[in-house]
Parts: sequence; C-alpha cells; structure tokens
Amino acid sequence: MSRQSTSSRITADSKKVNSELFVLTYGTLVQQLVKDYESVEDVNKQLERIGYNIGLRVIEDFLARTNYPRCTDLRDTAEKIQAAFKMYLNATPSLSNVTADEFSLVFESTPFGEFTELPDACANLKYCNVLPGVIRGACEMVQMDVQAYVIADTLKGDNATEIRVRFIKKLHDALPAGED
Amino acid sequence: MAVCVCVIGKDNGPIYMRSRSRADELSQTVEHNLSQMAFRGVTANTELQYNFIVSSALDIIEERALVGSSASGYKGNPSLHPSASGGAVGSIDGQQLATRELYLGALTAREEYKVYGYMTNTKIKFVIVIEETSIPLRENDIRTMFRKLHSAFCDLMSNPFYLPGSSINSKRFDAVVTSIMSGQ
Amino acid sequence: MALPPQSTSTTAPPDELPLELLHGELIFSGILLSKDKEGDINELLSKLEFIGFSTGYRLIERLLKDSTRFKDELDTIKFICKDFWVAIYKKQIDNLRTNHQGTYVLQDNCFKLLSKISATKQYLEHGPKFLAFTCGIIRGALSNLGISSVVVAEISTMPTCRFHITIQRAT
Repeated sequence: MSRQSTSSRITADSKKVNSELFVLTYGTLVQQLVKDYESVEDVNKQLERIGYNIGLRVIEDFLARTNYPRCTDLRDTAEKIQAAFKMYLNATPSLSNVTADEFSLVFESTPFGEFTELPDACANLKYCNVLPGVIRGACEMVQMDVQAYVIADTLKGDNATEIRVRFIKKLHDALPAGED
Repeated sequence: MAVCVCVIGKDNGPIYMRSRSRADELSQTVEHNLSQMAFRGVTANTELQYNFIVSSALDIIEERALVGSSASGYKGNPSLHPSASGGAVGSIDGQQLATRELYLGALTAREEYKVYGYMTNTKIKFVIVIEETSIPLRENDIRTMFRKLHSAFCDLMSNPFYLPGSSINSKRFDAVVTSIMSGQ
Repeated sequence: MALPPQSTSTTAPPDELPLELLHGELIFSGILLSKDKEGDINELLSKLEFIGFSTGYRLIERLLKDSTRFKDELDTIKFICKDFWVAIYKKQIDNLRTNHQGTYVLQDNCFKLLSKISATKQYLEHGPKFLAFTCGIIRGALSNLGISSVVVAEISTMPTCRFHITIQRAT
C-alpha cells in the first residue's frame, strides 16, 4: 500500500483516531493509578473525581453546541445525557429502568472496554468509573444533585455495562452575601 | 493446516508460541484437537523443534526485510521464491526478495511443512508453520491468517494492562490463534 | 490549582473534547502526583511524558497496521510530521528542520493543546506542562518504530512551539 493511501485512510478515520487516542490515554492513566495507589478502591475514587471535573466543563460545551432548553423532567435529562455520549464518545447507550427518580444507561460495549482485559489483581477495579463522575459533574452544573454508579461491567463478564443514575435533589445557586 | 503460530518481539525473543504436536494429528475430532492445543499440550521435543524452525526463519526474515540493501544473490533453495508457480527460477533479481511489504511470503520449505513470515513496521514478527498436505493452502489464505494475527496484536496493544515486549497472556489473543490454527 | 478558563471553540468537532479535557485534568488535578510530591513539577512532567509515551507507542501500532515499511529514518520522521500529526492534531507540522545527523526540529505554529489556554503571560509558565504529553507521544511512536530518541519542547511565542528530537544512536 502506498504512503498516499495510508495518509488518506488515516485522515478519513479521524473520528476513530480521536477515540483511540482518548481510550489509550485513559488506559495508561488507569494503569498508572493502579500502580501508584495501594487500594483499587482509591483508584475507583480518583477516576470518579477526574470524571467529575471533566463533567463540570463538558456541560458548558454541550449547552453551547446544542442550545437545549432546561430539562423538563428526569427522562428529558436522561435523553440529553444519551445524546451527549453519542456526540462526544460516539457511544450509544440505551435507557432502561426509567422511574421518576432513577434511570440506567446501558452500553452494549463501553467506549473503553473494547480491548481492555482486566488482570486478576484488578477484579474490583471500576475501569470506566470516570463516566459516572462525568454525569455527576455535568448535572451539578445544571443544579441537579445526582448519584451515579456502575452496576454492571462488560470487563467483568457482564453482558453490558450499566450506569445507574439517581436523582437526589435540586441544587440552588448560593447567592453572594448581601443579595436576597 | 497451521501447526505452529509464533510471535517474536523486537529483540527477536519469542513472546508467544502455540503449536500442535504430531500426536494430536492422529486424534479423531476437531474438538479433541482444540482441547489439546493448549500451550503445554505439546511434547518437549516438538516444542524444541518448532523453536529451532522459528529461529532459523528469523534469519531469513531479517534478510527479506532489508530494503534497498545490496542483498545480492539468493541464498538457498530456488523453491523458496515467493512466486506462486514454484517453478525453477532462472536469474533471480536479488532486490525482489527485499520487500517493503509486511507479508514476507514463504521463508523455508521442507517435505512436511512450509514456514511463512510477516514483519510489522514495529519490528514484530509473526511466523506460521503450515503443514504440507494434499490440499495446499492458497497464498491469499495465508495472507488472511497474518492479517488476523496482526489485527489481534493491535488489539492487544490497546490493552493498557499488556506490557509491550512481555509474553502474551490474553484470552482474546488465544482465541484468534485458535481460530487460525483450526482453519477458521 | 485553578484551571484556566475554557474557551471552547464549538467549531471543533466534539469528539476532540474528551481528550483535551482529560489532558487538562492530568495537568491540573494533581492526580498524577503522590502526596509527598505535590508541587513537584518534574515529577508531573515525567508522568505526563510517560502517559504520552505509552499512548504514542500503542497508537502507532494500529495506525501503521496496513502500511508498508518505512525506507529510512527520515521517512519515519516525515511520517510523524505529516500523517501522524494530522491524525492527532488535525494539521501537519508547519516546519521541519534537520542537521541530517540525528537532530530534527518540528515546528507547529498553532499547537492545538496550547491554543486553548489564554494567550497571555499568565499561563505561559504552565506551557511546558501542556507539551510534555506530546513529547511523550512522539518519543513513544518513534520507540515502537525502533528509533530511540530524546524529545524536548520549547514555546517561542504562544501558540507556536517546537519539538526537538535527538536520535540516540547505539554506539
């Protein structure tokens, strides 16, 4: 294959390369954290924290791009989160078990899990724990306090990866002192 | 049928080897064969034999992969020429052997088997030993085997818990090699 | 440490954002630093470089899966400047200089990861942190191609930067 066709193939696959780059960077980060931290639980926490920080910022971009109005109810929120996953990670989770307070995002294959194989020592590692963090951070920026956690993971042998999101309460903007 | 699949790292040390012993050939069912094809399912003799075949193949791979080198002449058997016809070759163009293609073609041939090689841009070498049977495999089939292997290797590299250069211990990779060795 | 204000260009494709944000987090969140090494910039740069190294090393394997072998070292470096850079940063390297003795200087006039932070002096001190990851990517890619190198970067005027690659020859 000539060099020309290599370059055209690479540029045509831009989305794939972006995704690959992100997955590899994230993967190395996880692997580093597993080495640096003693307990897997600590790693899980760190991944969630990183996700939270990312979520705080992703939401700005999302709202700027989409100009969606405020969500009417939880299902509306769930659908927007679905759309965001498609936009940023080219992932298409489906919604399930939607109630007034909770919903699940179900990924047939996670954006991260495709080639990852967890070593035995990391049985309790929540590899994609960054995702619940992103959801929590993003929701907080739109005044929603939610709890998000992974309840099933393809990397652990489950059929799908499932993130459960539970609405806790609405957050009110803290008013600066002196204002009412 | 592929009887041995080997992956050799950059430093020419093997990082993966799967082979099938002669004894297994006599077994009746494919399932039985597959179950015997685990790493340690071969006799020590056979493994040694394949190790030797693979290391000799490495020398030829080095030669073939040299691009633009003054690889004059042609060591060895004319039947090693990658051309499909396999007929006797007259004046051989030394440059033809040196190739920039990843697939390197047949490296060695004996009565019972033929050895094929492939080297990636990242100096990872794949060697497949194909048993000579009455129904020879076509060149395209062999190329496909290597492509599958290469694809599996790239997937392995995307696993952050696999340390490059270390020996391969992946269920996914094993599954691909199994499918290659069982003829898909 | 406060993150610089985000100036997202919504014209850039959204799938580029996750990596940018993750990269920003790696730099500013302190997640890479152990407790006793907080504030140790060398430790941070070294860890960022390593993450880049591993990423570049693994990425090149897949990028070159269907490609023929490179002719020589210069061919390899040119690939880094063109196809590889385009794949990652959506543009080619603007200028390549070499002394033909193993040193290469790659200049990017509008380096993607720098253009996002405010182009004021205020964030200039953080500049090197934004380059460490990319230095690692280059070094990782070359390493997997059999070329051992040292890669350092310098910022001239934001957002222009140069990557200096020095090939380590086995003596």
